[in-house]
Parts: sequence; C-alpha cells; structure tokens
Amino acid sequence: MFDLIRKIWRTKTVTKTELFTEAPERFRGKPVFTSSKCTGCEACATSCPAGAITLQQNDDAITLSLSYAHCIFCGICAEVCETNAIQLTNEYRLATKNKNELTVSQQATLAKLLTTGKEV
Amino acid sequence: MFSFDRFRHFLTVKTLINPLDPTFPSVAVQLPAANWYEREVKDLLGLRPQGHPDPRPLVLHGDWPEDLHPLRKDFPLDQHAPRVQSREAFMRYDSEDVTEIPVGPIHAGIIEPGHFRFGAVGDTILHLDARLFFTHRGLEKASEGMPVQKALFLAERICGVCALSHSIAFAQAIERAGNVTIPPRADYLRTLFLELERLYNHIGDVGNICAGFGFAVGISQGARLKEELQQLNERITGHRYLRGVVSLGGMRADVTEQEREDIYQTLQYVKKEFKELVDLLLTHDIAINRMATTGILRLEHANDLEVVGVAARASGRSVDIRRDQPYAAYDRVHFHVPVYKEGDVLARIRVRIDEVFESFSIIKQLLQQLLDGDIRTNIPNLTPYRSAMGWCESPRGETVHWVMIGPNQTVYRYRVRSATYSNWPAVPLAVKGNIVPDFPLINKSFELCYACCDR
Repeated sequence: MFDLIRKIWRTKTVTKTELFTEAPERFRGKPVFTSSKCTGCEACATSCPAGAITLQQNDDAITLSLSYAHCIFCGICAEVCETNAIQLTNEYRLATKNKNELTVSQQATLAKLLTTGKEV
Repeated sequence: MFSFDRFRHFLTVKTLINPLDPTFPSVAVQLPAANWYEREVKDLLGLRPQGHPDPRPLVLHGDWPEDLHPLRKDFPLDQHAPRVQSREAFMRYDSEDVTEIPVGPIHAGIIEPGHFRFGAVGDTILHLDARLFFTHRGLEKASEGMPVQKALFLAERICGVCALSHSIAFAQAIERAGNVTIPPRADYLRTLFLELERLYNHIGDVGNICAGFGFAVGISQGARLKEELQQLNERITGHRYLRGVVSLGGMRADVTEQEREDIYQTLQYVKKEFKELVDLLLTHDIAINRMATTGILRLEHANDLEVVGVAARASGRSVDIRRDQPYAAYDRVHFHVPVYKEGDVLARIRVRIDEVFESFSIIKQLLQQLLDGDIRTNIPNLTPYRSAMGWCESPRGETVHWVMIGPNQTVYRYRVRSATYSNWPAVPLAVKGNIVPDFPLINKSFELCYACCDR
C-alpha cells in the first residue's frame, strides 16, 4: 500500500497540456511544394502510394495539386524528387473546417521548366 | 504450408482441384488449426472442404451471397454484393438455465468491432461464440495488381500496433522472391526497430491487463511508459507507430550516433521505471489473486490450435520464430525465450514482463554491434508468378506473409496470416468455466487485435 502511494507521489503529474510546441525534426508532417524547383518529371505523382499528388500539364504551365486528405505522410515523394521541390515539414496541425482547403494547387511556369533543361 | 521448427524448414503441400467441382477433403478434424483456414478458403475462393465439422461462414458474414467469392479473379474490385437473408447461426441452448449474453459488436471502450455471445449458467461461462471479421477490408484483393512498392504501404496499414512487423514480413517476402540480400546494417536496424515495437506493445499491454481488474496505478504507469517509448519512436523514425521506416531491400530510416545515445538513455529510464511497476504489480495480493488460475489455456489445446506468440509460450508451448527460423539479425544476438506452464493470465503477463527485459538486452547488444554501411539495396526485376514468404515475430506472435509476384513488379496474389488469426480460436477455450466479469481480463491477456483478422 505504502509503496503504491510512494510511486504515485514520486511520479507526480506527467500529463502535458501541449505535447510539444514543435514536432521532432524527423517527424513526417505536412508536405510542401516549391514550384520554382519543379522540373515536371512526375516522379512524385507516379510514386505516391495514395494518389495524393496530381500533375497537370498545360501548354505553358504545369499545375501540381496535393491533397492532404489523401496523403499518408510516407515521404516517398520527397525521397524521389531530385530537386527537393517537395519536402516534408514537421507541421502536424492540419485540421480544417472546410475539406476543400485540404487540396492545394500550385503552378510552375514553362519558362522555369525550360531553364532546368527539361522538356515538357 | 507447414513449418517444422525442429528442422527449420517449410513444407508446401500442393494439390490440383477440379475447376468444375471445387471441393477438397477437409483435414480440420485431424488438424483443428485448419478449421479457420478451410472456412476462409470456402468464403473467399469458393473451394469447399468436404466433411468440415463447422460449415458456418467465417470471413463473410451470413448476409453475403453464398455463390459470390471475392478473391476469385473474375470478381471485379468494384463489384457491389447484394445483402441476402442472414445464414448466421450461434450456439443454441435447450436448457432454461443458460442465459445468453450478447456483447458488441460496438464496445464501451475504443476497441475494434467484435461480437461475443456468452452462454452462461449463473456467473460461469459455459460457452463463448466469438464473431469477428466485422470490418474485413479486402486488403489482399486490393493489393492484386498493385506495384510491390505501393503494396508495402498497404501491408504496413493492416494493423496499427504491429505495423512494422507486417511491413518487414512483406518486405522479406518480396526480397526472397527477388533473391535479394539486404545490407547487414539494415538487418540490425530492422531488429532494433522490431524490438522497439515489441517494447512499447508489451509495456502497454502489461498496463492494459491491469485495467482488467481495475488496478489504476498499473494502468497509468503502463500508459506513461508506453508514451515515453512512442515518443522515442517518433524522435528516431518520425512515426510513433514506426510506419514508413522499411523499404523493399532495406531500410529508409537510419539512426545517427546522437539517436543511438537517445535510445540508450530513454531505455535506461524506462527499464528502471518498468522494474518498479513490475515489483508493485507482482507483489500485490489482489492483482495476483485475480490473475492466477484465470483463463487457463491448456497445452494440448494450444498445440491442437497451433497457438503462437505470448499465449503459446505461457501455456508451455515453446515457439518463437525469432529463434526457430531466424531472420534479420536475430541469429547474431543472444536472447532467452521465456516459457511458463500455467497457461493463465498471470503466466501471460509474466511472459511479457520477461520478454521486455530480453528486449532491453537485445537492443543493448544491437547498439554495440551496429555496423556501418549501406542500409538499402535495389530490388531487381522480379520473376512473374514466383511466390515467396516472409515471416516475423510480432508482439502478438508469428506473422506470415505469402506473396505471388505478377507481371511488371506487381502483386498477383497475397495472403496474410497474422498471429491474431492463429490465436483467436483459442480464446473461447480459455474462457470456458470462468466467470463473466473475468472475460475482459482474459481477453486483454491475449491482447489480440481485430484489424489483423480484418485485413
């Protein structure tokens, strides 16, 4: 009985009101896309196991949409991207009241694609 | 497919079945462990076992059309099955003294769906019908035609708490199909993470079993230590449940020198705290009184049903696939496999406690031996229609994945036999003769997961 009380006393309250201000460095959270680096190679879209990334090529631009609703945060896209255009951050607060906000689209222009020497 | 631990070999028995009359003689009477497998193959593939003692549906509940078999290749993935009049049947009791108590499929806690129907005489359980497979997801069907790289993520999502065991078993199957030897460092890392998975599960389970008899200090201390371990997992791999650390042909996550020190320090602390918890629990008279002689699974039942994992070792059945068919780096570390003869809840909690300390020792050896080098190799072109197996001792027991490769690096057929699948049929036998209030305790001591069946 006494050893139980002693254990409780020694442990004290361990509950944290906020688990961490920031997730650990290695945490695979929200993927972000830097359009200026994209070469339009589609490696991310084809390797995404959840089909969360879609690339649409128009005449002079390429539109990449990323759905956080489908993303499983595996980090394969960041791994296959040769120019680090997609990277996973440690941002984990992704909840929103509007489901449409979970899909983000970004455009990269053809000019930028050409400077990387990659044909569209 | 049979495994003979004594000879360290697998034996595959193949037979041809007439496509016009897909039947085969049942062996469930001679091998009670075959019961579920035969019923499943009847449900999903329509191969009918002749002379099976229990013809009830297993995976597909009675309201699924009898002539529709989802795992057949002519069943399209998007086909919708009409609901028919249920053929579901539970044990019927003729005596008025037997009270039927239905529990579930929705439970008070946050556990998964399962329906239990007790036939009780007063407080004592006469018979238990367990109805599972409520949320069968058809992952094996969904994986057909999927590139193996993507199917790895599907395998990882079969179960939440043995995610790593499933992904490693799948990766091993693919690597065996492609004759790939993974780099030694990857072997060590897989072993390290597998033991971290076992640790957080076992320590959490020891705490959870305390919930079976309302020992609040045990519950909260167990939960606290599990949280410490999960935060460690997150710091070193980026995921609390160790998802996304395996790749086909090696590992995706490596540990740095600094993280090695982090693992060492955290485990030192958890070990000390866990030792205190164990001392409190095993010297507590009421706790021992509730656990001892409760829910005894007899050795002959465990052998007949080919029970695996903690439940087997607590009933005197010495099986541990880490020792019997070593994989990853388990042949390069020393560990002891605890075996108890009693087969009760106390024996099962003791096996877990002993294994926790074994895991600490394994991790210590691994951190000392960890070799430098690559952690990944490439998977070559896989020969279509070649099949291979991968296995892994998950915290619940041995998990076996069988894969047949299809054209263009895809999965043609896939079958997952999780530890839970082997152990569920044993629970009704262990429950028999106990009182109804002890059922949650017995169930927790087996710690079986529903998702592993509902794959």
